[in-house]
Amino acid sequence: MGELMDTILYRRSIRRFDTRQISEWELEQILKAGLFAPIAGGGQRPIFVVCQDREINERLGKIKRANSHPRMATAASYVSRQQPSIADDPNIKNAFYDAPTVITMFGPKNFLFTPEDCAVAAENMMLSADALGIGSCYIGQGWPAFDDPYGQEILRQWDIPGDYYAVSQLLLGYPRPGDSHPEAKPRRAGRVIRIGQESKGR
Amino acid sequence: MNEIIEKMLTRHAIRRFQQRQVDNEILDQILTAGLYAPSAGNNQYSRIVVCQDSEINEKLGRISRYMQFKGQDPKSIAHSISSEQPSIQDDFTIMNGFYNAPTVLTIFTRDGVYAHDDGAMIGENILLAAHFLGLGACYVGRTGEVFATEYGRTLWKAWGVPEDMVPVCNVLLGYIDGPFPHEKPRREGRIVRV
Ligand SMILES: Cc1cc2nc3c(=O)[nH]c(=O)nc-3n(C[C@H](O)[C@H](O)[C@H](O)COP(=O)(O)O)c2cc1C
Ligand SMILES: Cc1cc2nc3c(=O)[nH]c(=O)nc-3n(C[C@H](O)[C@H](O)[C@H](O)COP(=O)(O)O)c2cc1C
Repeated sequence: MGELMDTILYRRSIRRFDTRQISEWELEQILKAGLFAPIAGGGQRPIFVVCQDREINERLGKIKRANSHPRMATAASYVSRQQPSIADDPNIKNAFYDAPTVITMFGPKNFLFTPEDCAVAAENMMLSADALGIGSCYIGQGWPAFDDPYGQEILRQWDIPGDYYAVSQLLLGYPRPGDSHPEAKPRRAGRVIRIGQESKGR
Repeated sequence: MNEIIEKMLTRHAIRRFQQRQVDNEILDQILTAGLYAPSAGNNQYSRIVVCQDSEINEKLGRISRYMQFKGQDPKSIAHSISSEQPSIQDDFTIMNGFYNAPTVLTIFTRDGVYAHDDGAMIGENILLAAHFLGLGACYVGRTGEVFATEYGRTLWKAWGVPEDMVPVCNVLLGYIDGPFPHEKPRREGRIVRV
């Protein structure tokens, strides 16, 4: 357990990447961890499209940025100083932060559990990435990256079924050399509520 | 292969639990794992309700099962899920959709487009931590429907969870009873490389 807990506590969203591509063997392990996440029912419907084409990733990231309207950070309220997000730095034009690997997770539109299926898989992949020293960042709302004629063309090239939609993206890459690992973010208090504790009745 | 990843791959849904309650120290570690999940914009606006009142858990579990079948004949809509750790879809005589787990978590998150992603990631951290600590766990959906019932709403209020939140999922926790499940085959073709 020790090591998993270390990974869970240590993992931070990384948005400043090295230009080097991640190794194939590391990518395979990360993808496998994604496939072995829990999944609702028997369908195993979601698919993960792994794109390592820098031009496509950059163009989609720019479309995503243009279609995003985050509430911009203030001195008191920000996402990350060390690994700034598009809400922290208005000069970032690529919502995928030039990550060398971008995984878009697609699932059926008419299935209640699609977002959860994708999110649990993403969490497995983020923890696996961290265990391998690879940085990752989850990008919620995947479809705005395709909401433009170029994006629509890419969906056709990728042969995405018409009844599927892009739930989210997962960015992967080695952290930028020289960056120190982001500091822990304090946890907000009062998020656990205990009911009927053992000591009372048992 | 990396050891943490290797162990991650052996996590499976557990639905047969011993009745002995989860050790408090272990439970605290599992909850900490949940609190460290990422959240959209670092909102951390979520609540994990830990319920160890068996009466409440059983009532909720029965409602959860009801929401799966909604009065339809289970035979006509069920999919087979697991033989070693049967779900309500495998064994129609199981009336408690929370499988008599001694500890039932309900995860609430901030309303909005990221509610289900945020909740599911907390759930997954909890499942993994439980597995690494030798406990069994199962993720259960349909929580929104369960907490939209009169009974669910009453508890929601009594638990002091803010009204503007979304109940995303339940996570069942306990010591494993019955055989540890085999790996379920993963469907081919779910990874597309471009
Ligand atoms: C549902 C969800 C959506 C997210 N969307 C974005 C996003 O669009 N852009 C981004 O830079 N980070 C995004 N993140 C990452 C969060 O900003 C990050 O998890 C949070 O600030 C906590 O920091 P940590 O991951 O370093 O612990 C998202 C995270 C979650 C869980
Ligand atoms: C979103 C979601 C909802 C789930 N809902 C239920 C449920 O209601 N009841 C149940 O017994 N298992 C539920 N599960 C657990 C899955 O049945 C289980 O993860 C799947 O069969 C794969 O098996 P594994 O987790 O052992 O690899 C759910 C899982 C997910 C991700």
